[in-house]
Amino acid sequence: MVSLVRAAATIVGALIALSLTGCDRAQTGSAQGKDWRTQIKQVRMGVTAGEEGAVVLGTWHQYQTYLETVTGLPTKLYRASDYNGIIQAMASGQVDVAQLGPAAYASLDAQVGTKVAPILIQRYPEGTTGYYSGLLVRTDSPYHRLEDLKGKTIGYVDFNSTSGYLYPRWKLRELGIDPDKFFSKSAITGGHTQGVLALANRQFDAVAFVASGGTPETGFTTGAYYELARRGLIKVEDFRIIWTAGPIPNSPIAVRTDTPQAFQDTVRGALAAMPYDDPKAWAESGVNPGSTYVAANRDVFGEVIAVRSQEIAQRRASRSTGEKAR
Amino acid sequence: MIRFLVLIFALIALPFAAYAAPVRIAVVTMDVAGCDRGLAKTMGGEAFVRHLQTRLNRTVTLCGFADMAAATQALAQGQVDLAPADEAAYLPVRDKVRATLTVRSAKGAGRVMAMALVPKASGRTAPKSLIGAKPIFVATGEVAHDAPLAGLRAAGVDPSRLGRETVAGDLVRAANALRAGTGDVLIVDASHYQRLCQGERPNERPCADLKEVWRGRPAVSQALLVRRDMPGDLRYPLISIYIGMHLEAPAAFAFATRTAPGAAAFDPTEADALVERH
Repeated sequence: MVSLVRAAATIVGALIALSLTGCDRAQTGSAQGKDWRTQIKQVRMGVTAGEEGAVVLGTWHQYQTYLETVTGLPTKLYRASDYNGIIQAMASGQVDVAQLGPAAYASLDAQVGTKVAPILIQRYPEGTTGYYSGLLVRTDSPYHRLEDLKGKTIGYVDFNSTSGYLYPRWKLRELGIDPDKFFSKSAITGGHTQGVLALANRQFDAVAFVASGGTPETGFTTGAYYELARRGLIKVEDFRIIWTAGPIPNSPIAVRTDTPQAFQDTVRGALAAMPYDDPKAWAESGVNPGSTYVAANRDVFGEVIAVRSQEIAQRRASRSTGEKAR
Repeated sequence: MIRFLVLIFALIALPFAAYAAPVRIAVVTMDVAGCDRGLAKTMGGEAFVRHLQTRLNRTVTLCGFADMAAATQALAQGQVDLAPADEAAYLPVRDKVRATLTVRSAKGAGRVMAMALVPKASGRTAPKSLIGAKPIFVATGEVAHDAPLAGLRAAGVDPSRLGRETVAGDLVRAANALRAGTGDVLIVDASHYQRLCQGERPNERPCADLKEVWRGRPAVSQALLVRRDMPGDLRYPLISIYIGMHLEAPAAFAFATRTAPGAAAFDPTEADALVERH
């Protein structure tokens, strides 16, 4: 009997040792199953909700509930009021997963390289995965074509906004127009909502804005301009879109790559499965009906990364020319 | 004492065994029957197995079956973890397994979601009530016409049992045609639905006079199945690895889609995505 107990104790001891070895390996980052939860403990999600706040937060509250169920971990939502807030939160590792504008991701790529990776992008029912940048003017203005805005004032959204700054300026340069000379004056409005409201208040002749949920041919249905109209703050018919550029790849969901691979795969797989596993929650998240998530990687944003680098080089060149002139 | 030790043994070994268990993926082949580590080499699937092993941090083994029916039976019995199936192979074991992934073709828009809208006063309340109804479409083509009809077929409404169709040419004319009684049901893809029903003013409900009697996607002809009791800790990572495979491991993707020429990517699916007629 004593020898039986000894033998059993030896087996139990060996198994405990094996289990602990397994835990150690999990904690190095190649975790599997539940082991990655020893590292993550809570899911920290970041969202830029300075604009279209209610819609964006609604979406992420649904994701929060869903991911809590899927991961079994508390899921915390960190809200940044501007683009730079979410960039810095991701760069410093204060959040593990976030939805970013493409240019914000390009900024992160420049700052931390592969420590942040895009994993998902929204796909619309007809198979497209992009949105547009546009120039918006008031309907009662005399501006009908891009050329009409020569010497006029423009409001941009944010230096880190793709549709509200980066893309329209790049596309204008492609057309042989230097945006810094073409417009008489430009300013940053701080957000898409603020930009449209500034236009309504006649602070600018035109503003750069985001247009999604459609194409220039079909018309658009989503973006701050349409959300403001639904909230009764403006009327769609009081404004006119006179120019568009795009499509721009949709805003990615990105993760910190120093989190365990099993965590990254669980988050990506669960969010991609959400339209099929929990269609009610998906519909209530405020996404365009019939939209889904598809996988994305850095290559999808290659053009945006290149455009951002060009823009920064252009700004540096302008600054150094200005300094020399002084 | 012995019972106590057995209990301790089981408690310690259970989670360890769960993590260490290999992931067994069924493939249809006449070459090898059963799970065999050499099968990946024989079939040219080494890159695929290597990719999954790296990402899952688990051993991955291919298991050969003569056809999809045999593979799904093995899945239902717990002999494999992932198996390809068509509807015929799926239906007999539907209570134990579910579809989880399918291939999206490079051609076409994929599984377009669509809706069927009827006037509230029509009395029609379910997909089956559309039998005999005259459909109105916004346009012809895959997204606006063919995919919505395929979706409706999966919901149990055979398109041949619908009345004479009208193709309105644009969304406004299509909605007007429904309201004027030119047809009985407006069948629209999700993008047109959003444009029609979202509204541009506070509390504006442009479709308040209409009732949605169906919303869905076309069925898929083939899917990868898992057991319904597969834990999320394995199913979600598998979904993630498969949907990103075309970007992250092209050679693995080529093997995984070897029987689906023109494949663009894997997409997740709902559990009953293979069922052609609900």
